[in-house]
Amino acid sequence: MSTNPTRKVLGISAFFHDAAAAIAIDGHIVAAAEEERFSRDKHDASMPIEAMRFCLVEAGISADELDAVVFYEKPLRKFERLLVDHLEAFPRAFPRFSRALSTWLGKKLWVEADIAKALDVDPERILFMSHHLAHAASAFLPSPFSEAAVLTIDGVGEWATSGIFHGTSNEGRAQLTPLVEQRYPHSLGLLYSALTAYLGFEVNEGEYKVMGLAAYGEPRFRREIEQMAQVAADGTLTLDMRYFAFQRSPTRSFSKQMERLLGPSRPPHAAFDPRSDEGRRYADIARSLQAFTEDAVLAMARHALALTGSRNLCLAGGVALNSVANGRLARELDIDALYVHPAAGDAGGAVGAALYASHVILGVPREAQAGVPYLGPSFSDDAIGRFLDDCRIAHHVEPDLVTLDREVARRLAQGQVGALFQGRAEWGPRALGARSILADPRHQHMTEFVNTKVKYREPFRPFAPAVLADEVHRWFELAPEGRDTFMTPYMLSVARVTPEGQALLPAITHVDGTARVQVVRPTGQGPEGSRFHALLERFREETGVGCLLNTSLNLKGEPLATTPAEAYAIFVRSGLDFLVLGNCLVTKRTLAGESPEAELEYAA
Amino acid sequence: MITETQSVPFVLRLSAPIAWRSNRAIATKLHGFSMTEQGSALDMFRAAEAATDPQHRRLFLRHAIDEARHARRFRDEALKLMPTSAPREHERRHAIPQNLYATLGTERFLAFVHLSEARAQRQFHVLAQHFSRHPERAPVATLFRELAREEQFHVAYSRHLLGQLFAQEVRARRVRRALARERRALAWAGWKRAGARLGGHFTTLLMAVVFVAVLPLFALILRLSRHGAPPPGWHVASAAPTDHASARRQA
Repeated sequence: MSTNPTRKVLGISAFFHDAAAAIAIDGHIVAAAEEERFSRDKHDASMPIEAMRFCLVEAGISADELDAVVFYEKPLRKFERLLVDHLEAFPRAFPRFSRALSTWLGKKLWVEADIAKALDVDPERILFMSHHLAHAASAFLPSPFSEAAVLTIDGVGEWATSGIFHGTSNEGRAQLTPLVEQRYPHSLGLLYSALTAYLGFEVNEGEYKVMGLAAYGEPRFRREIEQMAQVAADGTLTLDMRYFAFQRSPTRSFSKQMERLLGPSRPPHAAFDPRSDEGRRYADIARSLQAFTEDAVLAMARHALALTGSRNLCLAGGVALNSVANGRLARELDIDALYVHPAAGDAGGAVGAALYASHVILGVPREAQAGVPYLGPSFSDDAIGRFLDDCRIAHHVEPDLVTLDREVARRLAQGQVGALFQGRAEWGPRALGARSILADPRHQHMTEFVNTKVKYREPFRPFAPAVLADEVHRWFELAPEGRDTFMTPYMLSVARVTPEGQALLPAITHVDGTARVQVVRPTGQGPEGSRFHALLERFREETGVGCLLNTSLNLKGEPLATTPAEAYAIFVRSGLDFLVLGNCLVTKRTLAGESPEAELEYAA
Repeated sequence: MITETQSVPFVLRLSAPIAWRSNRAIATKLHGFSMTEQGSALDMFRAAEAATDPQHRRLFLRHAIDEARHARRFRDEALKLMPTSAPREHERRHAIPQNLYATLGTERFLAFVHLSEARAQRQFHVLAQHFSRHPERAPVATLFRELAREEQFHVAYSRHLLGQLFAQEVRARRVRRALARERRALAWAGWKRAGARLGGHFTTLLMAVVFVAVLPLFALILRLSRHGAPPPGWHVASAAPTDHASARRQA
């Protein structure tokens, strides 16, 4: 009698931004984490040593047991693009050439050796796949579909900036066929990034802010945007490179020509009020860019559906994190359903690489079902209790979670702002109830309070709601026929707030009457999802509203908290009123009785 | 007993008027300090999580929170002086934890903390004095004065803990060796920092030579052969790897 051996594959993404590692055991992702969660360096691009270590420990195996280690790019193909790009831009590319070439020669060209050394594995077991194939795999292979059109859109991979694939799965045999791609420099991701920089926000970080800012504006710069970039009916994108500087400058992605067209760019870090005259101009530009992006994504998606003849669509790549565009896709496309990977950016490439090697190269049968997003590190109640005891942090232990949730709900209903740290951390950029800051969405002032006094971020940024599944239609107008069913658990699409919702839930209603919804179901999202659902139930008992304001447990510019110590540090440095760590409750009042300065006896 | 060498930061005193001459220079330096404090905070968090002695955990956590606050205060002050300022690329690396507690062990880690905090305290003290002579820089002087006071706590508690270990006869020698070793390590790290900056300049120079001497020919060939970047539009994508051999290829 023969049995199939267990297949273990580690996927890695690194060296651009959002380095991450993910491990698949027999085609199931059992652990995945971004390196930033360990290094605390937001969007950390370095080799994800600690994330790899975490994945191996979580899977309970050593590196020499791995069948394959898969890197999410083809480094030499990318290097070729870099060289051609520099030669094309010669002689204006010197500043970029100097920095890029030294980085490549010193680090990026030796990925294989670096991985082999870091994990102590035979280089023969290290595999490479193209960037967009890794994205496509991250979208299709963990999706609930057995057949789908797959669209990937981001800044740039090796040469491709967007790609269309056809994913199929017959009797467990998965296939992902690349069909067509658009190539550098004609990139929707780079267009969005260039204007993000123009608007004074950090590239790869500020795109969400541009999306939030767009709601304040009118698309009166649409013609100017179309002067810089044109999109055809089939989604073909053409950038007029006179307006962009990313081919020659390592630090500046837009040219003086763009400033001549749109007016002066906004200085980074300058105070910003979208309701001032100058602020309104920037908001209008953001709105015009957002509208153009949505139209371009729609055109590409229609082309993907036409090429494949499919009625399901999977989406990945950094642009797939544009939840406003995703909402439009779900509303306007004639499809059955849409799936977006929760970590659709470069981090997701690690999951895609691991799953592709498992299913396609190693032949592990695929089951078409969506996974859970809680794949990160966790800490037992004992470890949390020991940490709090050792650090003499006053806290209350409540073994009965129903009682604890009731207390948390009561505090939230009173207008307090709290943080919830429970179970395994989320995979992807969104806090989904495991590392979350929570507040009552019924209070008008809560948006500004949480932005400025808790998270210290821009006051114009919106907050997302987490809502009980059985109450979602009371507050939100989701896409027809449940087309967004597979996006809403991960906060990946924006929907209109109903008139009742706009009246009763002002803190989660953005200025344009929309919200990025997280629908929480009682089962199917792991123990973390179930506990979060139970808390929402308790809040509904308290208030009659099964909805909470839910934002990530971090401060501006920092990654999500990973450990109890980091969560506690955020708690003491912010305007949070209480912190739930596992089954322990820490409040500012219990801390107030203590004097940390008592430790200064050592200074005497 | 733990003894200290109170070297006067003579170089800092001498160079302060030049190194901290303008808003831009001050802001850039403050960002650098912010990065270092941030890195230090992260290492202290790691230590608070990894340590087994409750007293050590408590003090490391307190220290970590202080350092995180310092990082934010330095950054806020830098942005107040110059809203467009940002940390220099090589300084961003200082904001990354180095897992020092795990790699050095308790004695060496405490010795490292003690020596680096003492050095930071002296630096902050000198800079507070420097800025107090310039009334228009009063906020910066206050910042350094306040943070120097807080660093005093870090110096004191780490000395206290080292003293506790020193009192255990079996560990006294290890503590003494750890202090000596960390003094050498700090000096070596300073030398390496200078070397890295020098190396960076040398690399830029080398790249300039390559750029001028090698690239023109290839750029010309590329233009003549018209094999540059592809035109806009959808292109047929290359096949995906389906076996081990094709997935091994990096190109």
